[in-house]
Amino acid sequence: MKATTLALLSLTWVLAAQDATLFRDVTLFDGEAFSFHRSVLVRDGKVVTIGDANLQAAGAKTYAVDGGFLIPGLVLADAVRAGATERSVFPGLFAPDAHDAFAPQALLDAGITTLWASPGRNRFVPGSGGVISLAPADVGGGVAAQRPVVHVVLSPAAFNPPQVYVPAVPPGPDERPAIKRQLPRTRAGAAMAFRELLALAREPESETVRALDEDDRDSVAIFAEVLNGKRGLRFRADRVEEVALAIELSKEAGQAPVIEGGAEAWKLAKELAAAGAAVILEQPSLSAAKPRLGDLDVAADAAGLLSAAGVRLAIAPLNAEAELLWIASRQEHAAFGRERVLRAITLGAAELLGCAQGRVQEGATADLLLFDRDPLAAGTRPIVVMAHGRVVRDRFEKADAPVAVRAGRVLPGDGTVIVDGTVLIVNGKVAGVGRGITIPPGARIIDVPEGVIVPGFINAGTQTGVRNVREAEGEVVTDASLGALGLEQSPAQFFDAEQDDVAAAAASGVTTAVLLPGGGRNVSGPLALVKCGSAAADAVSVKVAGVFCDFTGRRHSESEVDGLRKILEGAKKYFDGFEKWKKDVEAFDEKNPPKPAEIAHAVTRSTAPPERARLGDLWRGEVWSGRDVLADGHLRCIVRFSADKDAYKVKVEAAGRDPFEGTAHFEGDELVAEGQVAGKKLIARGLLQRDEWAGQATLDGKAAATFLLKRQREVPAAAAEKVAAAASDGAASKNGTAKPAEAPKQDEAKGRPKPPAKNEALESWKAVLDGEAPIYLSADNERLARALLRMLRNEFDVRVAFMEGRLLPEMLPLIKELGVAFVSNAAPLLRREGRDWSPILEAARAGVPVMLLHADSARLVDVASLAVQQGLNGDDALRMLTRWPALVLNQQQKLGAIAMGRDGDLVILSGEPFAPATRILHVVSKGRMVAMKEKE
Amino acid sequence: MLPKSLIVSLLFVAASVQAQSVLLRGGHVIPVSGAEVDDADVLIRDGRIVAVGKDLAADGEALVLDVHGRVVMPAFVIPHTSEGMDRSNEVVPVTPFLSILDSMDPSRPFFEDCLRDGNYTIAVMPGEMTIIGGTGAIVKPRGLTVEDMLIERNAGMKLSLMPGNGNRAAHLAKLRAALDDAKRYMEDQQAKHAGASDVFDMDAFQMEQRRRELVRMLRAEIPAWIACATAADVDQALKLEADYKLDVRLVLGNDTWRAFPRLKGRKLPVILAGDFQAREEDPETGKEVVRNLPQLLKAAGVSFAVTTAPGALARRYMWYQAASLVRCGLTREEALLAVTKNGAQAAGLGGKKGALEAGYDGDVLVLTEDPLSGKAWVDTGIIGGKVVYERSKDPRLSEIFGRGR
Repeated sequence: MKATTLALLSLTWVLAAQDATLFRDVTLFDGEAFSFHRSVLVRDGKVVTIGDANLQAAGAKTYAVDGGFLIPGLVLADAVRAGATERSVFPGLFAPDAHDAFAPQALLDAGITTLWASPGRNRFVPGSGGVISLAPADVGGGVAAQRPVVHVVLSPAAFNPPQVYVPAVPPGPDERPAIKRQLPRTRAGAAMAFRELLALAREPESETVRALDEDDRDSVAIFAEVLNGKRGLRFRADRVEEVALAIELSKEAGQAPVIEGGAEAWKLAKELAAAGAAVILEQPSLSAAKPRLGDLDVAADAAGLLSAAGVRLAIAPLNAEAELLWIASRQEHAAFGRERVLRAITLGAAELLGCAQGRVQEGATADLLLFDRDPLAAGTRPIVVMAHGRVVRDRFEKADAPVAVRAGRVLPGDGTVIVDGTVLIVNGKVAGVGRGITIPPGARIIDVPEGVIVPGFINAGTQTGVRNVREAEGEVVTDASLGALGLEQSPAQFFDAEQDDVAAAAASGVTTAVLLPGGGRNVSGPLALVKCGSAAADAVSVKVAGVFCDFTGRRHSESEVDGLRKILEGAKKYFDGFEKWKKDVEAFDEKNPPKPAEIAHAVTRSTAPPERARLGDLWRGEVWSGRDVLADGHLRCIVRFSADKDAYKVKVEAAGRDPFEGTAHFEGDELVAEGQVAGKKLIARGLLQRDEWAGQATLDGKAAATFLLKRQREVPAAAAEKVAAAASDGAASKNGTAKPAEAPKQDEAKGRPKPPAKNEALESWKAVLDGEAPIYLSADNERLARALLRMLRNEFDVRVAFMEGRLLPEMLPLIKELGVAFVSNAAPLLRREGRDWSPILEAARAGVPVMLLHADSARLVDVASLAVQQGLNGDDALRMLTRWPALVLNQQQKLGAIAMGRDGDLVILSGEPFAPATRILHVVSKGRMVAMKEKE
Repeated sequence: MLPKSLIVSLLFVAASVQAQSVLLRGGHVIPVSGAEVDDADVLIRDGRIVAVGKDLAADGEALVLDVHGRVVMPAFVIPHTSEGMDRSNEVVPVTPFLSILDSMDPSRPFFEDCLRDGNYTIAVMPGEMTIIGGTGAIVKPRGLTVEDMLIERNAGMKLSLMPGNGNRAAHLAKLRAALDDAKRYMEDQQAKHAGASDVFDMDAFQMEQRRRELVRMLRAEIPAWIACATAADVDQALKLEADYKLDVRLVLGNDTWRAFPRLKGRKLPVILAGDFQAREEDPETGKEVVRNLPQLLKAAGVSFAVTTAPGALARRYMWYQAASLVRCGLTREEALLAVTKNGAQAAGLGGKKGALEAGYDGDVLVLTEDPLSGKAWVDTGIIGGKVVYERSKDPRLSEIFGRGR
């Protein structure tokens, strides 16, 4: 009885939880304007609450991503769904009938949740259109009851209707001719035909109407509905003459004009506004007439001009329906800002179509899109799509279940070999490597007794996963490659984790890739570090991981070298300027300490790294162990730290147990806690990352438990109180980790030095100049290469990776002397001194760090295998794929080896790495199992 | 005075001509509407089943058939087919004035096969390629002329939602235009002849031939058989039922399974045509997912009938379809219902055909074995109390198998 009640209760709890979804701490666009740090709670298909960043909802599925954007589901104002029939006037055709509500909807991937189904475009009256919601049929998607709208096409495409064969059925004595020629054939004819239909529709019961055949009677009946407002009217018009005609005919039909296409409608913006018109602007616009030079600049601003004149506006793509967001983003400029752009594809379009979607308001239907970056950036796609309260696309999944892999050999990447070892990955990070690791309950266990585990491979240069959407000759094209980007854009913006080649890369063991911009410029663009095979939400690891400098085809000259030198010097000066400003502000603040009332949000700053400074927060987490240690094998606890001279006191509280008290101190990046538990000595050791502390605990030297603790963020009110208290003690000083919104407040103090202007392009050099990110250098002229290498290493001391394998035989001594790394793909063997010379082998032998790259990530392992066949040591080959790239890219904290706290990237092989018969059995990327498809 | 032999022979002839009763004694009886009974009797008189039970008494003139070791069940009902005609579809899309009676051909091998296979109630309807195909009829497979074969002259109007040229919206618009036109005509007639006792008495007023049957369908005098190929079509069919107040019978193809939950609680006659399994490949994993449509219909609480697939090797036998239903998750009783009683109900002959119950028509099969065994043949077939088929006397079978089989 009790068990059933409990089961029932838990079932209802699960049901209730499934109904509610919470999007926390996002930048919200509600259809009209942006607001920051909001949270949105959805329940039963509707938006229930819009609150501040710390909204909590018990049992709701929560999505929280750093820098997230939440916008209403997109409304596509024009999508052809029903093809043309042979009839020139067929208003009875209802385009939404062609919609299959049960079929999967591909447009949801692009974030489109509502669309207007329109009939074809090459008949005079091709049919009627209506609104379709793309939500699944069982939550209310599909065609809703609505006011249909008759479409009338005034562009020349409609002026060539075919002849129709209409035999009398059954044949009778007074046979009409069976072949009917259809009108209209000119625009004048179209106007005349329309007016005739209206005239007949004004007297639907007259004798003339009764004498018509049934098709025409049908049309007249529908136009009668247009006249009395039960149906709407929509004109397709591109050129000025057509738009003018549309305005006139709408007036005669007694309705406000709705113009679709509108390539030249901006020329009549005033007239349209006066008539209360609405325009569905289709881009890229195809103007039938050759564009006049003067018009070219203006036409691009069509959206701005129309909107400024007061015309209701929606934006739709001419073809390429899935690129609605990209096409809208191209309309953004000074007079037509981001809010208006987004409004034109959400609320504006919805109002124009007469449906209730397109907004985020309490009580409105929940059609929402969550992005992890700016929705108007190049080629972005939403990571979560919600239609009518149901999540229909979720690319957000976090690696929740821990993964434990047991294999015959583990090669962690530091030169050791662990026999019969286990690797445990919790929350996307390695939480244990070695023998006798405790595996938490609920973990997914993979047993490969004959297998070998190696760290995930790093592809040091590729364009895998690039999705570059652009316009070419009036059409929207999607490219899989990038050109030179310059320093303002990172290739990470064009990375789409859903592309097929990313999945193929992950299945081939490449879990991290360095995105290269295209070459061709001296400074081609920044490098970006992305993860293959992990969730789309955190696919981009590092936005600026280095800079690519391409000097191929350039001949040596002092000016070339000088050019690069000047750029680097300029960047250095820029950063020096910031350092100087910081010092000036410190000096100023010491002389004029700010009054406590001015710093509302300051946080106590210490000289220790931020993690340690906020160790005082509350930590909450879980501990797993064998049943000999903990009776249930599992424990939830709360941990508090308090400072105690140079170390910390730690207190662990768990339900039903005595609190544990001990001490904690730092050993490098690891936090070690010690104490006594039940007479045994407990040592808990783990890597402290920003918000997590994960590691292993030993009791009297024996491995006992695994733990994972997460920092609990404090509510701002509590923090503010604490800060006010601290400020009144006089201990407050200037803001160390303030949010940018607060910085201006402090600058308002008189005389305080202002920061120098930010230069986005130069910001990319920061990591390089600090020695943390490499410059990839490609140059095929030996003299130039030498000069550049010397300059970069001796004058600026930046990390360099040299890309030109053909010059390597001559340059190897210099490269070794300067401490430069070598980046190589499967370069052909060179012929030197009568023998085959392999750049990879020779560089490895000389002790130069080598990184491997391949444009097709799935073939990266082949590069290494080829090198092994040519004589490379297997261990060295493995290092070229893992450890050395991690070192050169300065990512050794996270990549390149299997060690505590690093990203959980593993490749599980069936045998010796790089042996011919070895297959890849499993790949784990950031704790997530990668789907291994059968290779053909 | 006639010779004694002649008198005897005349009496015998008279007796056999007037043998209006048939008693099937001692077989394993499957009444379909009740529990199966072993070693039981079925008594048919005047073309109707009078009794089913043990040790029934026959009157003196009854033709007694000893069916020990055989299985006795009601004859199969094909609730929807387009065979038996020379062409099942017209070229012109809207032809409500056509009737299959004009295109049905009693001499086609299809009817001979039906006689041999035990399908004794056949609803012949126009095909799926015309939007409004015309009216169908229900026939039995025995007779020289169409009139001889008729059970029901006008079984209903066939509407098809399968768009021939792929333009679903245009297809529906043409259908609605035709229905609206008929509706307008109906209202015109009502206005013109207001005050008459019955406006739509077929004899009193000359209804325009083109619209007559559509008007009857709109007044729900004849049912509308709607053929659906996909789940969206089922939605549209339900919408048509609501908008025009039609008496709808659904003929479902094998892509319609997503809409089966919509049919819950509606009590519409449903005929499952097409395959009983829908296969789909999951694009992510590449795995094939097989769905059993009969099971899905059963889960939605819909009782349905099945029909044969024309031309297919095994699926033209109703007992094979029944066995397939069992394989797809139905029980034996439900499967046998689907090929007999449910089919009769779907065709509008509920209470008359499809079960061995008192009052039902005497259409009975004597099978050599259990129908779901896969090896059963029809040994004797009886329509309306008359033996119409005997396997031992089947000329085509003796040709194939030789004498003595």
